[in-house]
Amino acid sequence: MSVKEQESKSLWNHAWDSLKSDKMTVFSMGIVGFYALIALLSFSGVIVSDWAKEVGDSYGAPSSEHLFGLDIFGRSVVAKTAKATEIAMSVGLITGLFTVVIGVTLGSLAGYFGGKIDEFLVWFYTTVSSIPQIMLLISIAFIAGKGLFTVYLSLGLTSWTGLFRLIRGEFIRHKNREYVQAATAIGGGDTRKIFKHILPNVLHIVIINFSLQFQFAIKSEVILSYLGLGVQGVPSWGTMINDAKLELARGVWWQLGAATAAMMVVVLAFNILGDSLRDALDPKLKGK
Amino acid sequence: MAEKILDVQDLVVEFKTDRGVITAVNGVNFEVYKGKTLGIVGESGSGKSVTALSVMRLIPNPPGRVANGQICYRGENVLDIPIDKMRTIRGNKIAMIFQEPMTSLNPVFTVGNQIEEVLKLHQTELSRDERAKKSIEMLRLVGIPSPEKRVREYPHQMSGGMRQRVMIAMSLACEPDILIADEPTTALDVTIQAQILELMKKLQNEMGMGIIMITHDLGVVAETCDDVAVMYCGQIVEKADVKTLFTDPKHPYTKGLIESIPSFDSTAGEEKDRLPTIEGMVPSLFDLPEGCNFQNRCKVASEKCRGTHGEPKLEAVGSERMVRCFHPLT
Repeated sequence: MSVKEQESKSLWNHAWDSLKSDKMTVFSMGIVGFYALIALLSFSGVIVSDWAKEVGDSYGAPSSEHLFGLDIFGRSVVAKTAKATEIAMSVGLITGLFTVVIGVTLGSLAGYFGGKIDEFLVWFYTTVSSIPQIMLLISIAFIAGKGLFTVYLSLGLTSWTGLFRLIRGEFIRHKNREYVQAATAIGGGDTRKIFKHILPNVLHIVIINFSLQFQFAIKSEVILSYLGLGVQGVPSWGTMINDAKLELARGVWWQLGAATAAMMVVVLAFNILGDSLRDALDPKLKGK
Repeated sequence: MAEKILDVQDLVVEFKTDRGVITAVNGVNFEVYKGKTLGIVGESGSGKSVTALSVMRLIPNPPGRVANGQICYRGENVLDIPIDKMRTIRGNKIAMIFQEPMTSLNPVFTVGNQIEEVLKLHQTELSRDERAKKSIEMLRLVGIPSPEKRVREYPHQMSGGMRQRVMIAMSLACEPDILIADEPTTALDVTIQAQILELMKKLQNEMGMGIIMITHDLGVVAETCDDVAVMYCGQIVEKADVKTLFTDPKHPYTKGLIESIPSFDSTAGEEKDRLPTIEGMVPSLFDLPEGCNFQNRCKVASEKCRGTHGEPKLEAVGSERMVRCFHPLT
């Protein structure tokens, strides 16, 4: 009799296997990868560095040469959309990182230490989240001035509350677990317990939240730019949609179409990815 | 007499609750000797786990607090040691095994990783390779087959008994002086229990550490301990060496406990069908009676026990044994 030997797999191996097995997820990962590639290429100037160049007539209709037509200044809408992808992805990434750093730090401090620290941070979090987010975004944008940096800052400073709440809750749940007590019993200090023991156990929440935050930030950037508070001087899906207000009356639909389609696809892909990540990483949902 | 490594004196631990302050451990004294096992027996809520946790200074504070007493490890009061230094003692000199092997290992790390962590904390001179080697060695020592492979497994791939072996490997990795085992076999089934106890005994003989065995199972006590302290309502009610305790219990509570162990031999009397029990309930720690804490369940309680004579003191009866009773059994 021979027992087949099984290599032990970590949670991440399991999660990867489960992600790989779902076609929709792989497809979404492909889309996200494609967007990231475009953003990187555009960022490094390999493509669309000449997006502002006039390549034809004002409001030229879609053709085989210019797939989504031209805008008021005769610039290629495809190039603009690609350039805007760079903006959108950078906003997603940077606000996502902001959220993770602020949310995880404050959440773990509040949850782990409790007491006065917890009271203060919870008060702070309630205050921030009681202000309607769009109002907060607008006021920060007004204070910090318009521009891309403001978008990062305002989204980063407002969007950590959800993750904070989750992480705080998980830390409260985990800090009394026996394995944490066992970690104390072998001589581990607070820092070690927070980062080495509890954090890896709640990391899946961070990852899921990051993927959802990413697409939320993209949408928010579009809204801010649409309202004229966002990116200046470079194309953004929001400003493209804003431009379309005047264009639609003339029957120029392509700028609106390109921006909306680009945004919809990436947001949808991130949503699907976020869902699959949750299924793959949250042990409570395993085997569903 | 063996070397005394731990000396606990007048330990009082209090917990603040919404309904007031309760004294979970009330004036406990005991000693642990090198190479010997001290059993602390008692039912749930008698304060045995709290006693063990306070030796490690693991009482959650607040709400808990060591209100009085001394815990001297090799002459140094553990309660006065600054927390940084305490960390170098925990896991290194005094180690602990917990009741629930299913939950006391971190689920996201391999077991090897977790044994190595103890070494990383306390034996900083070891290199990464040496740590890895030692963790395999520890797993072999606790009787885990093919440790080279097992060391890379996660806790969920192991059974309860295996995990408890890993816990033991972790706690013994730095060859501690004292091992505190808080109900190490309660969550395991009986055959595994026997294996784990045997393993602990064997390792004790090899390493010579003192063990504090916390349990509510008198069978475990009989098998593993040299000395026994019986706890009731946060106090030690009887302390004796294991043989004397079982053959000649002096406290009515101890006697009740021993009588309520199921026995295979039914020749002793006609009414052996029903297992004797200790009637009544443990009094609430919020509302302890005046006099002896055991009075409401005691068969020999007199007016003296219920009255104003105060609590009975833990007094020596004969040599080497102590009883807290006004009417010790003869």
